[in-house]
Amino acid sequence: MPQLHLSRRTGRRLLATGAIAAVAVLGTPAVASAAPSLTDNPVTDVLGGLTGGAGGSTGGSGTVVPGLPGGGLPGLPTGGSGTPDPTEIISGGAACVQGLVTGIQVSVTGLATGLTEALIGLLGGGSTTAPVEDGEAVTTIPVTQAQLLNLLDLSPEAIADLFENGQESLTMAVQVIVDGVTRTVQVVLDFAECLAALIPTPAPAAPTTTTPPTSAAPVEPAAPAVTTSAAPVQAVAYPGYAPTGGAPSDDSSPAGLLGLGALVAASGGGALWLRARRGVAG
Amino acid sequence: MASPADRDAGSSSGPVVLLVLLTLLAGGWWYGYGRDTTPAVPATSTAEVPLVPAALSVPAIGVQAPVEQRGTVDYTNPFTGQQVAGYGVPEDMAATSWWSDGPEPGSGQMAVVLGHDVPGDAPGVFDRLDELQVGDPVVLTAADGSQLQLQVVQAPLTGLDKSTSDLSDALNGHPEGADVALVTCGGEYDSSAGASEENVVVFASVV
Repeated sequence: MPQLHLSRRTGRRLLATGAIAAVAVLGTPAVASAAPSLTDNPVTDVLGGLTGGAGGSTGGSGTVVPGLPGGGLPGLPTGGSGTPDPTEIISGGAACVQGLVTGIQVSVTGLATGLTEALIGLLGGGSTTAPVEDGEAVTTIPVTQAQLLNLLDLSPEAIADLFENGQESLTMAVQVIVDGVTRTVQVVLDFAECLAALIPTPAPAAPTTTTPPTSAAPVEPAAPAVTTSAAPVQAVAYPGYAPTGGAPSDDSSPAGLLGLGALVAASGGGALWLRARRGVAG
Repeated sequence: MASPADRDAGSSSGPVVLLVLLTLLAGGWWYGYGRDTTPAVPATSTAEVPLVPAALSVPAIGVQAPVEQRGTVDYTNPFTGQQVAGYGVPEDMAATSWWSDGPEPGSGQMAVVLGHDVPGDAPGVFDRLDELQVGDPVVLTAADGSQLQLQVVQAPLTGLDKSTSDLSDALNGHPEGADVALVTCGGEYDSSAGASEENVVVFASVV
């Protein structure tokens, strides 16, 4: 199963263009038409806040959304009891790359200095703790597709409609506990990377996953051409010394045989000479 | 005392003994000078891909010899005293070697096959390499029987001075299309250096 991790694209969007994303949500007719049916949805609560409703905060991704009354996670203290440090800016981001599989990876920055652990949870969903390092906490909150659909209170068909109408993302709330104070940050769920998995029919985003194989296919025929053309190009440096001159060898040369033959011949000749000297006719 | 008949018999035995000895001597000469008559690996196909040679046949000079694999070896050039990179050569004067650190025959790059030229009348597999002529066939055979048919494309290069870069210059500047270079020694044998003074190279191309 593919692992979820924080999308840098989504992170950049949240950090740099959070406000633009919120406007995109607000500007979608589909959201406006669906709004009446989402009155009890924590997501719509967040959206309501973004629309400038009661208690809303229209800040960008770096703006803290006030705690939602009654929307806290079970067992978590509700917001309002703490006094947010104006200099402390908390922002959030989320991603579920390659579809929602194991959960939503949430990143929260701007946490209080000295905080070692933060409790991060979804409105009406699960929660988990994450270590805080340098004012930032990153964790994955386990969420199934069904849970996410329940949290969004949207049917797959409604999500598909949103997507077909040009909706690029949905914004939802994440609660974090900072020094015992509940704070809610908004996270943006990208359609292509996260919500497409919730759409039962083949999503237009699907071709993005099939693009790598199709683009990789034409590479294969090119490989043999490279290998075949590489061999002749390689130069050969031939050494310059070849000791191919064999030294005369007693064992393998006929000189020994010649010497022996000469010795025997000399012996025979000597014998004949001695016979002639003794006066033997011959 | 010996009878006249005995003397006649004794006087005629000397030439007979000499004749026998000369016959033995000629036989020994012929036996010692005989070439390796190991039958060639039977041809089963013509190689279409590079091969690792196991046998070499050059009919024009009566060469039918095994091919060993030898890589690059560091030598001390006996004529210059310098450390040089050279070709490994077979110990057997009747064998040849393929420079296995270089291209394979038929690879599109020139392979090098070496053999000895033994000074004097002693037998060496490439004693007559300088007698080859353009068009003479050369056959390399792999262990699986596949063959590479070549022919000499240039008159033998002789007089390549071992104390210079003549050999490497000749090989690096080989004729276009040369697939195999047959290399041996030549010139006078310098007994003080323990080596022949020159090299001989013959280039052959795949037919």
